[in-house]
This record gives sequence, C-alpha cells and structure tokens, in this order.
Amino acid sequence: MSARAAEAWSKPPAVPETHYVSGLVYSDESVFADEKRRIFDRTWHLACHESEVPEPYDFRTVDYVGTPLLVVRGADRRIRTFFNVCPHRGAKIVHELSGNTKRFTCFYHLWSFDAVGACTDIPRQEGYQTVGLKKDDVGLREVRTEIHVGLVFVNLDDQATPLGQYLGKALDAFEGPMTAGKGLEVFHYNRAIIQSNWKAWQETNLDVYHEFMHVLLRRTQMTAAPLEDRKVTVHPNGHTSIAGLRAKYEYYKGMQSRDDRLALPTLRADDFIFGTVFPHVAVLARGTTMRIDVVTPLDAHRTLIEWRGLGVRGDSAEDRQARVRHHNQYWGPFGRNVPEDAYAAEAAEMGFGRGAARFQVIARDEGGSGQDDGMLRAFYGEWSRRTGRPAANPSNAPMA
Amino acid sequence: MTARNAQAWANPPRVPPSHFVSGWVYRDPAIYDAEQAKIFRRVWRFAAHESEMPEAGAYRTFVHACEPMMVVRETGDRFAGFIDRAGPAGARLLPGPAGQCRSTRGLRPCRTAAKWGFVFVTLDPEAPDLDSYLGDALDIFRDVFEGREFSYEVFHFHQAIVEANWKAWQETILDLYHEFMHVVLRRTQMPATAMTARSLRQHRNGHVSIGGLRALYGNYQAYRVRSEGEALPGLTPDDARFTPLFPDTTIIARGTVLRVDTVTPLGPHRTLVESRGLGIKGESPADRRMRIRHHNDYWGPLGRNVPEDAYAAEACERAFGRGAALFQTIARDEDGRGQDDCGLRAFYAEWSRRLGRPACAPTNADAISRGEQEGKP
Repeated sequence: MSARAAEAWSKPPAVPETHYVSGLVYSDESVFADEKRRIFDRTWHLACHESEVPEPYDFRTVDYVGTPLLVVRGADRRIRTFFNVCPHRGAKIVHELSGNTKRFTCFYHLWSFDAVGACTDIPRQEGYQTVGLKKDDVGLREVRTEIHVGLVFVNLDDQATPLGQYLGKALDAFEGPMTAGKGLEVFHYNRAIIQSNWKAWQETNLDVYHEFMHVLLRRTQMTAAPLEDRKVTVHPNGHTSIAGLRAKYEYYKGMQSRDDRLALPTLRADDFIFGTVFPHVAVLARGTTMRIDVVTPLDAHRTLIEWRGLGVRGDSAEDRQARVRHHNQYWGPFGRNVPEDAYAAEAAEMGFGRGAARFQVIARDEGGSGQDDGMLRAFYGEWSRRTGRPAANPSNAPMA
Repeated sequence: MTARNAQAWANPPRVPPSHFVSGWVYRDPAIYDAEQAKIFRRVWRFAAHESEMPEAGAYRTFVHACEPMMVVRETGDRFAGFIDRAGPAGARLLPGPAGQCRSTRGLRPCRTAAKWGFVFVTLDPEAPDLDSYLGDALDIFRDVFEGREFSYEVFHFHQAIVEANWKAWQETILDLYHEFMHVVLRRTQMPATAMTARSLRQHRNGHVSIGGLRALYGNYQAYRVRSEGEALPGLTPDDARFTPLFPDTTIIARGTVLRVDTVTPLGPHRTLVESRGLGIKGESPADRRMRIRHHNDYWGPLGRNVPEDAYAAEACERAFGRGAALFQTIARDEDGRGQDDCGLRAFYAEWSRRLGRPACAPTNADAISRGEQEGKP
C-alpha cells in the first residue's frame, strides 16, 4: 500500500489501542470541557517557584485555565493561594504580575484583603447594615497550596490527594539539584501563546524520538552516549522521568563544553535529566542550569506556555552569567531548541485542528530505553483514566 | 472566618435573593440567547439622535438584537426604522454608518418613535408605545428638553468593543458605589454634597433615575469651575443626573453637556459600547469648544472616567467569564440615597421578570419560582 484513499485514511492505525491517539483529543470541544473539569480542576498545578515570593507579603499572580490566582507569602512565611477575585462584585483584584504589599485593594469599590485572605476594609460599610453583611462573611477563596523541592503547587479541588502522594517519586531525581546547598532561584521567566492544543506542546516534552528535529540535539545529544544508556521511568498518576542522557556541547559550533565546577548539586555538567508532572509541567536539568515548563490551555486551540530558568541562589555574577548563557543557548526565546518545539506543536495543530490528521502513532517500544514512546503512552493512559474517554477513541461514551 | 474553602465559596451570599446575582448570567450561552429573544427583541431601543439625520433621506445604521438596523428621516420629524436586510440572501443595502438613503423598498420596517429628538425602535409589534414604556423615567430631564426654542445635536460619537458581558458595562452606570474607583469622582463628586442629598428612583419597566449629584470641578487639578453661563437650560453648572433606561441606554447630564450611552451585546463575552456627546445646535464655536472640553474631560475615549469603567467591566469578565467568581452582591441599602444598590436591583428584577429566571439562580429550575417571588424589589 502506498498513498491512502479517504476510507483507508480514516481507519485507526494497525497497532494496539494504547499505541495511538485520535485527533479528536485536540479538536473536540466536549473533550476540552471534560479536560477542564476532570483534569485541570482536580490535579496539582505548578503556580511558581518559592524564590518568586521570597519575602513576607511578596505576591505573584497566575492565570490557571481561566481562574485568576494570587500567590502570597504571609507574615508567618507560609505561602498561600487565593482566587484573585473580589467576593463583592467579582472583579479581578490584582493586575500586576508580582510585587509586595500588606493589603490587596480591589480597584472597583476599594474592598481590601490581607495576606491570609481576610477582608479588612469595606468603604462605607454602613450601607450593608440592613442585610447584616459583615467583613467576616466575605473572605477570599483559598486554594490548597503545597510545596515540593521549592515548587509551589496549587489544587482547586479541596478533596484532592496530598501533593506528596500525587507526585510519588516522580521528582526524586531533582531533589539534589533543587534543594542541596543554598537551593535554586528563578532568573528567567517568559511566556508565549502558541496556536495549538496544550497537549501538542506537552508531547514535545514526552517524546524523546523527536530529537531528530532539533539540529542542536542531533549534534550534541544523540552522539554523546549510547541510546541504551537512557532509562524511561513511568510513575503512578501519569508522571514520567528519563535519565541517562548526556550532551557534548562542544560538538555544536559556537558552544563550549561545560565546566563541572558549575554543575548543579548531584549532577555532572554534561548530564541531562527531565521529568513531567501530569498533566502539564515539565522539569528539565541540563547539568548547569534548569528549565521548568508550565502549559496552560486557553481554549482547545490556544495554549499559554510559561518558561522559567533557574540557577543557584547566591551565584557569583560570573557564574550566573554562565548559567544564563547555558540556559539561553537551548531554552531562551531565541535559543536553538525551544522555538523548534513551537513549530512542531503548531504544525500538529494544522493537521489535527480541523480534522485533516486523524490519528497519531505513539508505538515505539525500545524496552524503556532509547527513543521509546513509553512517556507518551503513560501520559495518554492517565489522560484516558481521568477523562473517562480512551484517547484512541475519545468520542466513545465515557468509560465507567 | 477569614478565607473560604471551595464549599464555602460556592454558598450563595447570606443576603436576600434580590440582593445577589449568579455568575451564570454573564457566561451561560443559553441565557445570552434568551436575553436576545426575551429582552432585546421586545424592548424599545435608542437608535440615534435626530441631529444625526439632518435631512429627509438621511439614515443611521446600528445593530440591535443581532439584526443590522437602520433608521431614516422620512420627512420633517417623521422617522422610520428598518431591518437592513433585503432579498433572499438578506444582503445589507446601506454601505456605511450614515448617509443618504435612496429607497427602503424591500426592507422590513419596525415600529419607530421619537421623544425629545431621541429616536427609538422596537422589533416587537405588540410592545406598548414608547411613552408607556418610558413612563416617568425621563422626568428629571424635562426642564432640559421641554419648551426650548433650540434643539440639541450630537457633536461626538465613539465606539469601543469591551471584552465583557454587556451587563458588566451597564452595571458601571447603575452602580453609584463604584465612584470610589474613579479618581476624578473621588475628588469632584463625593465631597460636593451630602450623600443624603442624592435620590435614586426606580421606575416601571426597570428604568432608574438618579439626581441630586453635584460636582466641584475645581477640586481636580487642571479642571476649571464651570460657570452659570455655561450651563445647559434647566441645569446648574455643577449638576449631575442620569437615567439608565432598561436594558441598554443611558442619558447623562453633567451641567454643561450631555452624553448618551448604548450597550450592544456581540456575544456573551463581547460588547459594543457607543457613546454620544450632545451640545446646543447653532451655539458659538467658543461655546462648542467649551462643551467638547467638558465632555472629554470625563467621557472622551481618553477622558478620566470612561476608560476606568472599561477596566472594571473587563476585570469582572476575567473572574465571571470562566466561572472563578460565582456571585456578585448588590446588597447596599441606603434608603434610595447615597450609594444604594437599588438601581442594580431594579435592573436585575426586570431582567428576571422578562427572562423568567431569577438572576440569583438563573440555571436552577427549582429556584425559579421562589426567586421570582423573593426577587422583586
């Protein structure tokens, strides 16, 4: 068989159901509605790194699938998160990305709230005497907040399993690099909206096989260590991690090998490890520096990506400069790697978004090594479990 | 209690059902469709001011209830409104927002009536006549418009699309309490007179009128005190009064100048806001410049007041549009004075009556009858 007529094109790939995904997962609005309700409203979401709110009364605002959130460090140094929404007339309260204040005042009617979510001031409160409305009745909505290896996670579901239980051992490989010594801090933040479904971006973090696309990885990564050295681990709840990757940076013209002196704790300078937290977080350590991705759907066809770069807290100016350079070579907005992933995600959207592409194949099996698709299958296994729809045929009636 | 968990956040406010509104009114597509059918296709809607159609055959286009509409001056003071769609394909005949119309043949007419130069249309053949619909809602403007030897004319028109539900904009007009948001009102309006001097009146059909406001323009740097000679007839120069007509039009007077706002829903989350400034027809260039300056100080696209209302409406959309905010409270009671929320309650009582859904629980069939009983002001 060579090219296929319409009927043949519509047939599912001749591989097991777990090894392909229907294009409807990217384009069906009812699938997206279920993702929001059954995945994003119930899983732990990375709001920021604790270094982004280092001092009492520091705050950071985040938009989480349409819910505006406000992350605040209190006077007791505890980090709490609230809906960034005034209980009075529903206006978004804080519009800045970050700052420091003891008092959050809604600009609409000047109702004020403190760092623990209590309402502290209602102008001309006597207007509510008739109905007996009091400040105690109108606190902010607090969102569950827990921290792991410096990462601040939030969950809209008050009944969700605790963060530690949800993550299991998924981020264990990052405990050394992220917490030993002085710990890490964010030195880089940027964000972009790409024209594709959110999963198409996350797939670029789950798919080792696509390293063929990246000029830089073809030169520095594929030649650096045998494919058999790599080890994919699938964790409970859809999380994944991979170890055994290395990089020979000097193989790319204009780059130099990295000095072990700059390596993050417990890593070698040429190490590359990464992991994903279901559904939409990726943590990557490239010897001397780290990157964290947060992927947030805006709708079925548009996705907000936030990137953070991290270095060692208290770095000398020279070391920080080196880390920033290392980060940006691969991962900066003008780096050699990340923009190519945006092309890939948007190219997939062009195929799947309007139904031209019908299926994608995630069937590589290399025994959990090499360029195995095991991470993609783990992601879609969890996706299917949570949405109640098999990714191979999501328009089927929801599974029991 | 300080902050609230998810369950507490989901509980309705502990105030009477008429004193809060569910967030569903801003984002449910079925409610949006019901608003078009049960409100916009039934009410009288301000179309244009007579001065925008100065001669016979002059027309003005607009959008109403999802229909492309036009109103044309036929002869003298006679105006006629039409749906601007003709032929089997429903093609629009008129090329721009205004111009001379050669023929209205083939267009579907709609009922048209004018009051004080304001031309209204309705798509409902069974609607009561315009005077019955307006009732006494515009009485606070009687001295401004009646018995005058001159007429008014539109000197300013602008449009903007705000990313918010239409009601979020209309609320910025009905809500006196939000004057705290406006720097210029905090300086010029709040200290100008006692809260008790204000009067909010609820009229039939959901209209509201607000009088007794004053402004100390000299309190804001770069503004000048407005003089008696600059005032419009029937007003003192520091006067401020306004009438939000249900559901989408507001007439506002600020001593020396008039503004008319119209709100047109473009979808559950997008709204066209149109604003007109009016002065006296035939006035001197110096007087016109004064009036334009006074208009723009507060109400121009780069004025000190109106852009802040757009921020407010869009800030509400960010919280209500996707369901983060679940309720808003409209519970201030100052006996029809000060910063009473009774204007908002009158709006939502009429909204609930026309839709057959209480604004406090518009998607809950069980609550409808209870809410309709309890939701009346």
